[in-house]
Amino acid sequence: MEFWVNQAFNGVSYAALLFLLGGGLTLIFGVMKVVNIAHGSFYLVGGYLGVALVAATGNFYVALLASALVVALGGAVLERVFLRAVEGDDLRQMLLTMGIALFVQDACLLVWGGDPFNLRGPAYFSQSVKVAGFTFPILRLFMIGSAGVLFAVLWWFQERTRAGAMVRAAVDNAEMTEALGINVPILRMAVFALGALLAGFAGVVGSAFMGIYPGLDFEILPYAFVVVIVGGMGSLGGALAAALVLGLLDNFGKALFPEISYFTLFAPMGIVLAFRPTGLFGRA
Amino acid sequence: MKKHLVLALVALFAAAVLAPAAPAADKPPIKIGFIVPKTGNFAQFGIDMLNGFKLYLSEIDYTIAGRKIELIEEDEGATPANAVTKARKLIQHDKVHLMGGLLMAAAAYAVAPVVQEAEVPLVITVAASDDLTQRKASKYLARVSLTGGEHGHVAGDYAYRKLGWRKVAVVAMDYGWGHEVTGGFQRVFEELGGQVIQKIWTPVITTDFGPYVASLKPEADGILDVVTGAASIRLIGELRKAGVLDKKKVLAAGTATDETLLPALGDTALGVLTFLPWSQALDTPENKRFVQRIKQVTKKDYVGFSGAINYGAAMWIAEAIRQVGGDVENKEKFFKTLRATEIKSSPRGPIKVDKYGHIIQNIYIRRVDKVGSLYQNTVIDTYPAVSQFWKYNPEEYLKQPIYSRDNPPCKHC
Repeated sequence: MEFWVNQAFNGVSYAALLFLLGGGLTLIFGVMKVVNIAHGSFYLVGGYLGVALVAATGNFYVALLASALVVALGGAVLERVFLRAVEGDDLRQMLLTMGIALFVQDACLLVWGGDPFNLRGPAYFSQSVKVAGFTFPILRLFMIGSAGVLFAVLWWFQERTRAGAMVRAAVDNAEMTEALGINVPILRMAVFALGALLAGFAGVVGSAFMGIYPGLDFEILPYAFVVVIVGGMGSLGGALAAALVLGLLDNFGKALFPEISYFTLFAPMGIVLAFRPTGLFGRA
Repeated sequence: MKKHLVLALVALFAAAVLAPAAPAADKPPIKIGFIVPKTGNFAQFGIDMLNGFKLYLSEIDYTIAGRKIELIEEDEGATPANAVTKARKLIQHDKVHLMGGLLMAAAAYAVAPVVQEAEVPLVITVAASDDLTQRKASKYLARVSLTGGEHGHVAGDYAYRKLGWRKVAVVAMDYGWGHEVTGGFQRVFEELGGQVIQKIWTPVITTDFGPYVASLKPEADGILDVVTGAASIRLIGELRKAGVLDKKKVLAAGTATDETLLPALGDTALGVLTFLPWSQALDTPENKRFVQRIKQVTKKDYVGFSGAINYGAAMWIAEAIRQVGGDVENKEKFFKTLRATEIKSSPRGPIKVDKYGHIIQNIYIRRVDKVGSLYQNTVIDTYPAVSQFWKYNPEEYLKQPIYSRDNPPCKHC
């Protein structure tokens, strides 16, 4: 019993991180149709900034918000200055984000060096709570909580607000939306910044969970893409469902069949693509 | 008269300037090619390797036996193909007399035939993989770093005899280093009477070790950890959070608590035992001096093992060049001398190589401690002059297949 509860809890907490990672990418994918290879770089920069700001301010939450906002700002600038120049050309956009990712990788190496860092959160992050005889590490609870809150806020924004309706309209038909007098370019920049914000947020939380080091950007990128592809591009609910499925599969896969843990993580992507090319919740 | 004075002055001046340089000017510099990662994910390792190697060269003023040393650095890059390109360039274009460096085992395997063909000595200063100096040993290759099986043997002996373990669970990275350390450990440990009751192979890129830690068999007396680099921080963190480290000892391959990781590991790693041929806290005059000097270069409190073993490698190479009187052009003699060269003391201890070209060295058992505000790998035991073949006969040892996931097989899992 303890095994199953532990593993399920681990799986859900890992899913929370996957959602933070993939949620931003799916928004960018949906609205802009950009295959954003630089998404991992947002995560990386967020993590490094988080480490630096925790050291400077001593407050994890200040560092978390400030890093996410700085990364969002960076995302907005990137969209405005570079991506807009190659708008509508998928291949160039992808190559551009690839170039940015490589640039950011080297820049981080230059600034922070190659030794790994571990972000030290508040002291209680390394403690656990006991409920009904089961142990739950507080850091993992925090991951689940923050992903839950962010999902709720984003879902409310997308489904219940006027701006959210505009975003949904732009996902379905950008030209028609523009014809209705909605400023789609500004919308795109905002969504790109929001996606970057989520990745930056994930970077800080992730660094407290698994540290930060050169190359992590490209290590986590496939996970973000799996979430988007399984969940369906542009669908927040899809990203959450996909993250949960993948987080649990990954955990039980690792625990029960450790030798094939990559298979258990990536096989669902193959199966989903075979039967529902648009993902679980995607629309053609 | 005036003209004579000027001439005399010129002659004096020329004599003063040229005289000391004359012997060195006779011969062109000795060229050493050094291939290390300078970009990408392992760049920091490459920088540390270079720092150690160059520190020794600068201490001897880049001069050995009256000849200048010219170090030509090349980037190993991320692929073996890239390392081969750089090796060819160093051989054909720069005409190096010796090649050093190499971090990745795959790159070392790819470069070895190239240097063999060109008859240029290659001294591997990090890349660990048993067969480079065993079943695939080649004539012009020597290695003064470390390798997996060699380390596993020591750990197996220590776990059984000193820690009193009888049942062990293993968490190891699913690639060469993990297979070889685990294989060496299992062979020695089980021959003594112990049992490996679980082997968990983790992918090299593992983001979450939670599930592995939760599935560790509780009846194990201790845990062998062969996870390196940034992933080690996560595994040790999970072992701490799950309470495993409070109940059991963890014996880890030394790079798991390399000094460069200690600040990030922090308190989570306290008490973890490791094995490696060096520690920053190794209490010898040579090491203390080295640590003090390298800190002036890196401006960091923590010095990684790759800097230290590359400093030793430079000492060893320089000694060989000294013994041939700088005559590195005589390849046969130079390489023979290189293989026979012995250093009595270096930061890691004595250095010499066996007839397969691999180093015979001290391996230290270390424990992560906190002293003042800094963490360190305190040396608590020493295995002197360890051979890559442990106590086995090399010829018979080499008839066995290389250690792998299933060799030795897990009979007690």
